[in-house]
This record gives sequence, C-alpha cells and structure tokens, in this order.
Amino acid sequence: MFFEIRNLSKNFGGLKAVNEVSFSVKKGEIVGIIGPNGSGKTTVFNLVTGFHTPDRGFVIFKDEVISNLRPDQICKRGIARTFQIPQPLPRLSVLKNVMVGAYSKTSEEGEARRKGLAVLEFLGLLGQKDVLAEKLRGATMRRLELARALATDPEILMIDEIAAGLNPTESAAIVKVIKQMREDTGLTILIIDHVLNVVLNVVDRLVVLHHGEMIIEGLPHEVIMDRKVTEVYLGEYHVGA
Amino acid sequence: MFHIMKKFIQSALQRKYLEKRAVFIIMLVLVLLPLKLKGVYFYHCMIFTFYFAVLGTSWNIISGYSGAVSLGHAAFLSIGAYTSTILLINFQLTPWIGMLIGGSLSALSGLVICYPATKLKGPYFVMSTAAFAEILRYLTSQSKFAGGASGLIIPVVTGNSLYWFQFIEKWPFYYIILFFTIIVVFISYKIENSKVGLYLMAIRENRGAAQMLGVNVAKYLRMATCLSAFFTGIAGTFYAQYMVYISPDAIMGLGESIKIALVAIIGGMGTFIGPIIGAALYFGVGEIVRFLLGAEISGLSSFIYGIILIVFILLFPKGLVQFLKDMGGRFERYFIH
Repeated sequence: MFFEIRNLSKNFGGLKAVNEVSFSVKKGEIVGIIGPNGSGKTTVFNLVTGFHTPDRGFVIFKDEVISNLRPDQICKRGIARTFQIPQPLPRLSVLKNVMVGAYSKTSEEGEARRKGLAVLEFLGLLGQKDVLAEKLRGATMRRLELARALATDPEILMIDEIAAGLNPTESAAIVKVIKQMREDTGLTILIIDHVLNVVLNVVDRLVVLHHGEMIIEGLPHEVIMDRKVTEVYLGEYHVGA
Repeated sequence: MFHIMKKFIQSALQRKYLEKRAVFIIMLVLVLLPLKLKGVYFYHCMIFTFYFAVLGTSWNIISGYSGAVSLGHAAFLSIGAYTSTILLINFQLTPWIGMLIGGSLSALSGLVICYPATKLKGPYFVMSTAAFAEILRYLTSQSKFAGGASGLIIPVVTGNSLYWFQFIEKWPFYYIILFFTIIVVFISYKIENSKVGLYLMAIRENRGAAQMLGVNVAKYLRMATCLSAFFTGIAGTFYAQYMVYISPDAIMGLGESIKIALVAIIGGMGTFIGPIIGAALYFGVGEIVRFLLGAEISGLSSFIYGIILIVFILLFPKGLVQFLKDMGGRFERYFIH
C-alpha cells in the first residue's frame, strides 16, 4: 500500500485526541478527512508529519514506518502539508518562502529559484514574488501555503482547511487549483475540511472522524448518506425527526 | 535633462551595482587610510572598530540570521584568548597557530552548549547562553592555571615579531584586523545569500514551518553556532595579542556578551553590513563622548553614552541599516517612480 495509517492513537493528558484510527491511501487518490471541530483531523496530520509522536500505532509510507521521524525527515521523504492557520515566513518574500521548500530537494540556488518561480506561476502568485509574506491576506496567503508545500516536490500533499475564512468564490478557485494539481502531476492528496461542500467536489474517498475515532470511510455519496455521519453533523434530534 | 538624470539615478540605485561599488570603494579607502591619517589614537580607534565589527558579524551569523539570540559570546571570545595565551606562555607556540586552536575550541564549546540549548526557545535559549558565559567567567577567575582574577600578561618581546604576533607600531595590527574583518564579513555575505542563510532566516521566522519545508533546525543552528564561535575565538586571540593582557573582567561575563550583541543590534541584525555600521557607531560614539566629557564628573561619559544607546535603539529598533533601507525605498518611490 502506498500510504497507510494503522491503529494510530494519541492522548493529551486524559484526552484521547486520536484513538485507533486506521485507513490507507492509494497513489494518486484524493482522500478527504472530515468531522466536526475537535474530532482529531489536524492531530492526525500532526502525527503523520512528525509534529507529534504517536502513543500507539504506525504511519507507513512506501513500506517504511515514518511514525517517529522528524518533520524535516518526513518532508524529504515526500510528504508535504499546509497548516490550518497559515504559517508564513513573514519577513521573507513570497519567492524566498517558496525557495525554502525547493531547497529540500536541491542545493543549487538557480534550480531552487527556477522551481520557486514555476510553482508561483502555477498558483498565480508570480506578480507578488517580491512581496513580503506578512503583507498577504486571505486567499493569497492560502495559495502561498500551497506553493511552499508544492515546491518540496511531494508525493503526498496534506491540505488542512485550505478554504477556512474564504468566501465561496475564493473557495471554488482553490478547489479548482487542487483538481488541477492532481490532473497535472498525479499527486496524492489528503484534504481536511469540516465544510462538506469544499471536500465533496474534489475527493475520491472520505474518512469521517468523530471524537478522535474513525466512524466510517468510503465513497463520498455513500458516506454522506450514512446515518452515523448525519448524526455527527446534524445531531441525533435531526436524524430522528 | 531631467530624463537623463533620472536614468542615472535609477542605474546608481540598482542594488547589486550599488553594493559592489560601495564595498570596493570602502575597502580601498580603508586600505589606503593609514597613508594619510597617522597617530596612535587614530589607529587605536580603527583597530577597535574593526575588532567590534568582527565580533558583531560573528554574533550575527547565529543570532541575527537565525534569531537564536546569544548572550554567551564572551565565553567564545575568552576561550580563544586564553587558549592562545596559555599555549604561548607555556609552550612558546606562535599565536597564529594558537589562534586556530583557540578558535576550534571555541567552536567545540559552541557545539556543546548548542546541543541542549537548541531545544530551548526564546528567552530560555538566551538565559542558557548567558549562564554559560557567567559560569566560565567564575571558573576562570578561580583558576590559578588561567591566572585567576588577575588574568594573564602576554610576555613581550623586543622589537617587531610576526612569529610572536607582536609589533611596536600599531599599523600591522590595523591591517591584520582589517584582513580578519574582510574575511568574516565576506563569509557572512556568502551565508546571507546562500541556502544556509535562507534556512537560518526561515528558522528565525517560523521554526515549525521551516521544519515542514525540510529544514533540519538543530543541524543548522549547530553549524551557525560553531562558525560564529570560531570567528569570535579568533578575535579573542587578536585582542590578547593587541592588549598584551587578558583577565576575566576584561573580556568575560555578561557585560562583554551584551556589548557584542549591541554592535549588531544597533547596526541591524540579520544583515551582513549591519554589524559593521554598528561597530562604527558603537565605538565611535563612545570615543566622542569620552573625548568631550571624559574630564568632567567621573562616570558621566559612561552615563551619557548609555543614554545615547537607549535613545538610538528606541529610534531605530530594527537597526540603522533597516532604517536606511526603508528611507531608500521611500526615496525610490517618491522621486524615481
């Protein structure tokens, strides 16, 4: 299997943030991870990308267990992510932000710059390459997050709430970019969002988390019709009514 | 006519040519200056300005670029100074080799302090480096081998001696420290414009994001600390040979570390040219104040000097270089575009 999470668990004190979560991802798939706020989605991302160490379970990528690696080691193996709250390098320019990512795969300044410019062009940020990252707002900042992650030449891209705070037009534009990325590069994408409309337009498969546990996974149209999912999003009252 | 002038100014303001021309002109002036200006006091001022420029630039490599502010650089300075001095006194080893050994020991001590310290962030890292400097100062002042609180006097030879790194006149020291300054500043410039520099700046801006973009934070902090400590140690040997006397009070402890940091902060942290300007300001202003007020009430010149430094930092919190860059940007926008 290309990518697999097996019995992944993480506690913070007495809180079971992630509890025995298991699913796998095929190469080239787009898998959505959904669930209400606090269901453990971002914690799963943090466990995969090395920001937290799992208490139990494994993350396996191309037959290698990567659960205990550092974030930079995971990046070099081909997994990149964006952050729920954008994490720019504020006093560096847009281009330099992206070149940091590009340098993960090359030591040549010219090559890192070429890669950076290519990624910025793809994401429509070329005109702002010399702008300081701290001056960006909203959708542009989200595009920078994507650009930096893409510059690392990942095999798996993990996108965390990319449409948060964006209006419907901006969300649609970002979703279009994500689809384009998969079409152009065959990238495998894991995408978190708690807004179903954003995720349903783009994913091949859905995984639903609630209170740190996986309650269902499957095809989007099957998952959203599932009673358990409806309960999670609308509450037992609405399901029963 | 106006169009021609505008083109000329636009061309002059093209950053890369401006910087290269400015650097070349400045270097030429500094090399030729002793031919025109002489006098012991002139040489002393210039030597100490370059000395602080080396210290500030070395400090900047770790603290300016990566944001890991160190208040322990007096430790690296003193390790360099004491190593070469002890080797000279006990084994008659030329300070030129003693300097390299001292610099290497400083780098090694930087590596040792870095291992636990890089797991700390913000004020905790600062405190750990300050503690390191103070502990070393205390141990040195208690050590008979290192001369204790009285320090060590460099044995003086008769006449000029390149081997013993001693000269009757000051101009050899001037050119030696100028050479060191050019080397350290050049290396700092290269770092700033390289992958290493970009990685250090990424660490400064957002450590978590830097990690996710493939930056091994600990490795690059260790690398920068070792390089910074090495050059600081080299400067320590120069100081010992120039002053022919070292003691814990003279070059160790938190006060000395703060001076080193101030040089880069005043000029502009995170820029290769900031510490040079900071050194000129720091030492220059201090000498001017001492010259004007030194004969007045005892301690008045230090008091006034401290006030000037505080006001300066309040007026230019990002350092003078960033202020000038911002003004240059406004000049470009208003008058050129």
